[in-house]
Amino acid sequence: MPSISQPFRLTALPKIASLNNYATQGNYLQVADTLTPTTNNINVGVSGSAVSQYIINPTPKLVYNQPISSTNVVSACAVAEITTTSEKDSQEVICYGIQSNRVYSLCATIKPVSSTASDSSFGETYAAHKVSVSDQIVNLKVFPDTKSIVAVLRSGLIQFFDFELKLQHSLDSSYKNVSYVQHFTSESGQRYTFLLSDIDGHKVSFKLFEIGQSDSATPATELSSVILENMCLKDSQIFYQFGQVYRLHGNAVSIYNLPHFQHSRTIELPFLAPESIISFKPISTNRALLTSDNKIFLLDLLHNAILSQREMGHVKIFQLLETAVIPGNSTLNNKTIALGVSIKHGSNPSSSLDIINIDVGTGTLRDSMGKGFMSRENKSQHLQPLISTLNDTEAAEFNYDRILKELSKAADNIENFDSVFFKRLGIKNNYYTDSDRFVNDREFLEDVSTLIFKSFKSEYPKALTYLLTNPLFPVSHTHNLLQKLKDHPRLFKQAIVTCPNLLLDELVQELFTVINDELCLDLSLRILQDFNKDSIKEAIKQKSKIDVNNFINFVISENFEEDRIKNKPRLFQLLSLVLDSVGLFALENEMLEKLTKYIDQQLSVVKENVELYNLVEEKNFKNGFGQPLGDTSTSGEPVITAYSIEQLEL
Amino acid sequence: MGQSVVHQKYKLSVVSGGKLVLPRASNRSCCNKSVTLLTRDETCVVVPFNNQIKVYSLETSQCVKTLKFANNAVLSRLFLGADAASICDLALGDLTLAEGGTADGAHSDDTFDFSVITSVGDVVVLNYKGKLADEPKVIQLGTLQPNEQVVKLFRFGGRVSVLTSEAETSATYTYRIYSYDNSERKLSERKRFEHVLLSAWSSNDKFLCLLAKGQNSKKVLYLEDIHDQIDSKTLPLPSIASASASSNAHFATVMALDHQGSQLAVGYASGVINVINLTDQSTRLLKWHIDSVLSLCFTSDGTYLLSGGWEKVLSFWQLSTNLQQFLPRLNGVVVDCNILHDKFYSLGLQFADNQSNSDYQLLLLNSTDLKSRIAISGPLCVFQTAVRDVVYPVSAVSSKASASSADLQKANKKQQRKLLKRRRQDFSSVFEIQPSTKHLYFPHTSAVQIFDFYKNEQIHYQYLASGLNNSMGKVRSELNLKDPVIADVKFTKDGNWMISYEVEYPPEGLLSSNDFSHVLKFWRMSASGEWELQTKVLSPHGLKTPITSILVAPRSVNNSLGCLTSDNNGGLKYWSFDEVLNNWALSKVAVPSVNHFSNSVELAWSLDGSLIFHAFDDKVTVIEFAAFKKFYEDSAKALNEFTMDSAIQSIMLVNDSNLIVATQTSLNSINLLLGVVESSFDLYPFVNGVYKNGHASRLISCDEKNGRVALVVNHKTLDAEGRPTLNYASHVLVFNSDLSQKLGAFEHDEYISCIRWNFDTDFIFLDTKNRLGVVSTTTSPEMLDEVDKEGALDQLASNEFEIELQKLTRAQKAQGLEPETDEKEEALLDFINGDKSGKLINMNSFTSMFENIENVQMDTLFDRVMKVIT
Repeated sequence: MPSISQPFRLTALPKIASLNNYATQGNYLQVADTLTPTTNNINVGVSGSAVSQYIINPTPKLVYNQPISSTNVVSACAVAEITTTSEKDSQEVICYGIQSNRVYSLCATIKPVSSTASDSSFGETYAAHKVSVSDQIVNLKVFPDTKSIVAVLRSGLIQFFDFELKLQHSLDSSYKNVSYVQHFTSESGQRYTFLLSDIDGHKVSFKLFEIGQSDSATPATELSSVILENMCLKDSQIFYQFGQVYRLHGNAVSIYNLPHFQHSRTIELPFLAPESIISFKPISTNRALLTSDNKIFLLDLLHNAILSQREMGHVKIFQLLETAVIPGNSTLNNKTIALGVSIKHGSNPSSSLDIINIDVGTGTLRDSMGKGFMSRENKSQHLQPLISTLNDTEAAEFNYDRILKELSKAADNIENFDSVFFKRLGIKNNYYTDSDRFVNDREFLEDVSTLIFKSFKSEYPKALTYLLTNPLFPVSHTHNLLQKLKDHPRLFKQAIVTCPNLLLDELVQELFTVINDELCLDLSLRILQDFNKDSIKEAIKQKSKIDVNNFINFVISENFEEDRIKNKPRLFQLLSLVLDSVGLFALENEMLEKLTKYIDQQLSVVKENVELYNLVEEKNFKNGFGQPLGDTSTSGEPVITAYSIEQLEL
Repeated sequence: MGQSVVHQKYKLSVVSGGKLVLPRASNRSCCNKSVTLLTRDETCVVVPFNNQIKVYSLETSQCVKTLKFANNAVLSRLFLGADAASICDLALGDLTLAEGGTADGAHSDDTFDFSVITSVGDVVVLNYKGKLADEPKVIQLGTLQPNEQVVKLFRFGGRVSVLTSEAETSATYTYRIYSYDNSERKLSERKRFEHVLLSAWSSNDKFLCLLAKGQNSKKVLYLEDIHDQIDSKTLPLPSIASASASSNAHFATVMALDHQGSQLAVGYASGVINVINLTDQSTRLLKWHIDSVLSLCFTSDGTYLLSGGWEKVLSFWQLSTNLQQFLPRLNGVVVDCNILHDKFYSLGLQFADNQSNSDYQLLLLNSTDLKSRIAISGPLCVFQTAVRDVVYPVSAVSSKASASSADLQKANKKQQRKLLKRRRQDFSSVFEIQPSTKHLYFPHTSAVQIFDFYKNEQIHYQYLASGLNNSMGKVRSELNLKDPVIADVKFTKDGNWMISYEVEYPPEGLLSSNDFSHVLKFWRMSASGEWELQTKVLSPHGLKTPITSILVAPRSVNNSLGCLTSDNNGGLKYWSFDEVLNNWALSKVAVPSVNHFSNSVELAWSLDGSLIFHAFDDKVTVIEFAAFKKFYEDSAKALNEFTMDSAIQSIMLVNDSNLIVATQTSLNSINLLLGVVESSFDLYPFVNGVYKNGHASRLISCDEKNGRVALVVNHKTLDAEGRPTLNYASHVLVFNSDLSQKLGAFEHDEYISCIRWNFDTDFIFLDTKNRLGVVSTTTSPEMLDEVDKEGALDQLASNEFEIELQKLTRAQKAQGLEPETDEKEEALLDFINGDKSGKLINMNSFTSMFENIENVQMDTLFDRVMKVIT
């Protein structure tokens, strides 16, 4: 089942104003996009402080720290392990883009991998390089196999560096103001990247590039370029996952299909509070994480459902920074983590990086059942005629709200209540018939039931009798219903016989407490009708203290009522289920003896019957009636005796 | 899912199917039941259907031309509609031409005209080759009595005579012979015969023989030279059995007359054939048939007699020696045999095991080798109850599939009155569409008929259960034995597996007669194109327990190699294909309830395979597939059960978010994500009590690609005074996925018995006249600009992304190499789309083009294409 667990702290952030301001902290904290569900290392570039590496297990700990100047803002950060053959220790390269006033630079540090907490490579570096670039670096990506660093600048330049930060290639994507860059790999392993940049007049440019994978290939080839009208990136939260781009703007999510960036659908999120601080991140196929102030939601955007949500009471605002995206299509791969930043309550806000464990579920309907967030369009609840042109159509529409109001007014008087109920709804009998099918609003029926149980205590109106026969009797009122009606034998029986959705637990409870034979029979039949053997046994077992003697006495008592005799086989079925579940040894000696005696008696009756049957059959056979007793066909067809041959007549 | 800018419209058209008619089968007194016409050059044969006339080439055994009544105003006026006439005879040449003195020879061989004579006496001139005139010639032969029907039109030496019949009782008829005056266009009655029991004529149109009930109930034979009024004979029917013999021995079922009018063969219900030499009135008996003789025919030289009956064997009697030869193992009971120009035998076969409908097949055999054959039939359907006008062949015993001599006296009217009063009007049927080939599978008694909707031809007829009728006919009391019946077939989503469910019936009259046994079979498509049995499960849900519903797994579960079956007691089983065992095996079981039985059981499965919806009686239970248990069993608050207002008839899960539930009283859409009923429609007047429980699901189908729901509503038509009649009309309604919008409402003039989605964009339906129609979409060009929104639920969507991506990469690479040369293509597109943009062209526009594509000349094909486009 999808779930979001309580976040735990990775580290507290330094008390720098910009880092504790919810509006900017997202941009001032750059997390390398290497997060996977099993990762132990997290790399964060904290503006004005340091580029740090943490491990999560066994306990969150800082394992590497490279301080940076307090005026420096980290605009992008990327990390990758380098495959080297010469040295024993594996190395990794950390690169980050820095902005210091109007000076932009790219830094790269090669250092040993520190995977465990005991690693003491703290601060040890093999090489550090720095190069200045022409504009702010929006995105960084390291490709260890081609030994290249790809930096995308706000000006639209895509620049390829080697690990010594020598510029290898530069490509102009021709649109300035790049604000979103995403690298992804296709199933065949081919690398792609796409850029989104704002253009004047509420337009956005989308450009898809293929990234060359060998030194000889062209480093980047433009595959497609789309201009999208009426779109603005500034007020949108965008992410990419599994071939789709999700864009949150206002309280709507638009989904676009790559590679052509076609709009596929837009989903309204009615539960989002206006003016709240929102972050929106990918997590799994068709699923996304969304935070709104201190609430975090796991959304299924295929089914439009809130799979899970959590409110973090101890913080004021929680924002997501990076998530580990997983396919999440089976129970084996549905656990993942997300990294976020939280701001505590208080006048002097303090922030910290937090990690949340998330179970994304399997993305199936099973997870989303009944959790939909789409507000219901105000559809008519009336039973509409199928074909309006046919002249014999009947239809009835009720103003349920008004009827309910009238009913609540009349709720102090049983007669008034009944007259309003039956007259207003056009119900002719005090039981459900097919002509009452137009009263089909489940909410209304629920409201009426609530009203009845609230207003009437000692005596109930006839409307309740009617409702108990209605197949749409609200499920919510079936709980404890039998207990409530215990003092009204008629209603009690009515409920047992016709009320849908009675709980097995309650029925079993009543079965063992009711002394009335008639009710006992009804209860038995009802239980056998609605439930299967396994669940009946289970329910009886769960009843800790029950007296089955009463029931056994009822079954084995001599009674020649027609109903009883007709239903005897069924009662025996239930008896055997009861005995199975309580166990024979739970019975007292006396009862056991009684039971044995009864069974013996029944057996002798059966024996006798078999003998009689044989006699009769023999008699019939002698008389030449070949027809078996069971055959009562009176069709007058000539019966062909077995194995006779009809002669061919001439 | 939110805003939908969908420009899809549905339309209904009846394009395929149709029932082969033996025009005179309903007239028991006629011995020649079928009507086929061999063309002048003897290369083609013209066969009438109830909705079209088909022309089959004898060389290629394929249909070369169809004349659809619906496509022509004149023909649809004459032959379609509730009380329209039927075809009763076909004749070569144009009957309306004044033939004057010039006799037969005057006809030039190069006209392809033939005349169709209708039962009310109209003649329509059509052509079997070339284009059909928009307004074919129609003339009225003359006025007839209200109940009088044309039986046959005789032509000899330029003279035209018309034989008509009028029913007196259900067994006796009044026959009249008229001569037709072509110049005055008038019929003049020449002779009249009353109380006629049987009629037969020689195949050269020269002699007519009538068996009538004379005075004192003595049977009398009238022998007439049709065109020569003087030469007529009357003689008593020579008796062949003693008076004490059973009625079958006296009950003549069929007659045949030879070309010279010298020999008459009379077949009896007892199986005896009496050959009477009419010149000296000597008789001799031919005994071989065990049950009624149903068809007789002399060869043109009168040396051989062909006979057929219940044995499904055609017997050749050499009259000079009394020696016999047989052609056994025919598909059906031989109800008619004819010789066409001495070259072909045409046999009318009836699948008598289907009691709900008269299923005919026309078998054309080359008389020289008897091997080259053409079998012609329409879709063969089994309906829940017998449709109107079913004709059962006469047998020595009375059974459900046959009529006996005693039954014929029973009044038909009583039956009709009963039909009128009855509330239950369940003529529903079942067929399934194979997902990969799109063939229609009609379960037909112990077999399935595989039918190609687009070609309108039977592809194959395969027996799925072993029964008595597979290889031989049943006779006499054997007729009371019921062969296993295929109740349902289903296909896995890839179309490689077929699942069939059959019911076996024990003999009647035993204590165990109601203990049906049930068999589930899994078939694999073999390389040879036949279905091969892989796994057979006896009593899949325990002894005597029927399977009420079969649901094939979605692709996400075991690659669709699995299926759910449910019984009438709430039990549920999951069967899946085990690659290791190479067999289907039971994988999961949910136990039935103790005492609750219902036939209203339906299943639905979410596309992702996670949840199963099990509707049982009036409850839908949500079952988690992985655990095969009720979803959140212990929690009373969870959304795991829906109680509906009455017994559930059909459920469908659309778009993985809405559950469409049709009960006996209402059609509801439940939003599963919110757990509320969103819209509901009143089904009560159309469904409650009309169909057998669970059969209403045959009339609802869902387009799994975009979630559209098609629903059929049948109702009786009212006559002018508002009283119900025996005719039916139907409505097909198409809704969007949550029933909030009605996308189309169509009317059809016949009872629709089944509707199914064709795994594409259309719904295919079957009516009780065996006609097949389609409710199809026409996609307008604007549609293509936008991706189908509801397609977002398609599980394969992610692959599409990869494919698109690769396409782009390739395109980019190719671009560098090759300059743009697709101007031509664009020009072509312009031509097609061009100024004709107002006209909608979709897949179905060309549907009719592809029937009988094999024998079509290139220019004809081009012509057809142009016709559609322009």
